[in-house]
Amino acid sequence: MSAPSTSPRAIDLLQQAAAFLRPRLERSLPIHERLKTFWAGCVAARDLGATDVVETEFLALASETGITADLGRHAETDLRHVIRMALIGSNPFQ
Amino acid sequence: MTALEDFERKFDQAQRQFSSGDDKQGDNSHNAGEHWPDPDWSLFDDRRGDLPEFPVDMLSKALRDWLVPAARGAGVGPDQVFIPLLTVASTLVGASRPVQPSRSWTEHLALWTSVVGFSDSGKTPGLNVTLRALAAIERDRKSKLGELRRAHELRAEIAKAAAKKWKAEVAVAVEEGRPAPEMPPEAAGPGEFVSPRLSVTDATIERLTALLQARPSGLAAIYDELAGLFSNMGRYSNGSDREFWNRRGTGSAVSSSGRVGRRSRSIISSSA
Repeated sequence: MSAPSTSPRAIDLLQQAAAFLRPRLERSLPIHERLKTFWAGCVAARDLGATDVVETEFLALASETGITADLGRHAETDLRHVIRMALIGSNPFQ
Repeated sequence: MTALEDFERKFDQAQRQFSSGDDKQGDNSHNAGEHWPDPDWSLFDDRRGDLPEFPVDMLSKALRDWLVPAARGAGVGPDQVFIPLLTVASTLVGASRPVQPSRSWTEHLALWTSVVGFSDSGKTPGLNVTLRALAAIERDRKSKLGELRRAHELRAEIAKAAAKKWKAEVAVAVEEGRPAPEMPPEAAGPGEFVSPRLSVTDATIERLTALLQARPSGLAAIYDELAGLFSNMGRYSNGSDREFWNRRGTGSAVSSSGRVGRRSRSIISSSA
């Protein structure tokens, strides 16, 4: 006989972080504000997963919130740079 | 603080630092070398330092409500109960559920833990709390093991009959000058029945290899004295024990004496 399980369900913390950031990345906001928020979110989320997983999640978030489209031609390269700088705790805008 | 609250705190901090133009993160865990505390010089003393309290509060309430009375009942600290519990729990999951931290990195649940303390400091009573639970699980599995044994004996008898029939066919073929038929796969015997165990105490690698054939998902290898385990590392028996244990660190496949086994999981040792 086994006791009823009381352990909490597994939670995807990166998904929770993305859900927290999504309304703060609205397209009505200026792109520099959104990028700042995006970078700060990535800094805060860098311990929530392996670096490649965090990068994939944040690239998806950028695409979903329109940042990729708004940045234009080199968006993916620029976003990867922002994410990688955030993962090491550095500010790429200085 | 929940993980999400921690994330929100770090997010606010990063935003503030962005505004102030400081690219060094305030979180000491990454970029704040200047905030490191002084080293604990007592480590150089010729004594065992004071251990920090086991963080019982980190556990879920259900686990805490079980652990604290269990440890009190055994007359030991919560850590002496929890470390063996965590390790044995990982062995029950075994190789059946790997963990994938990233797409290119997979790890099996192989925990190596050791309870270290002076003689009579409660290492064995702490371990026994979990071993009693494990023994109860083994008792519950007895009827299933009986079924496995009966199925194995049936396979052995079928193999024996198939082998007998094949031998007779070979004899006839030889007598008539025809090519002898090949041995059918079902004529190969299943070998000796090894009861799948959840744990084993002070076992040699030969025994472990045999047991891992019976339980491919792994088992707990429990050693009451680390000295016994280490002294066997140097012996040679169709290969070195040291090589065997090094490979077990990642739960990789077992190969010993020409036989291929599966995975071992965890080691618990108590040592003074």
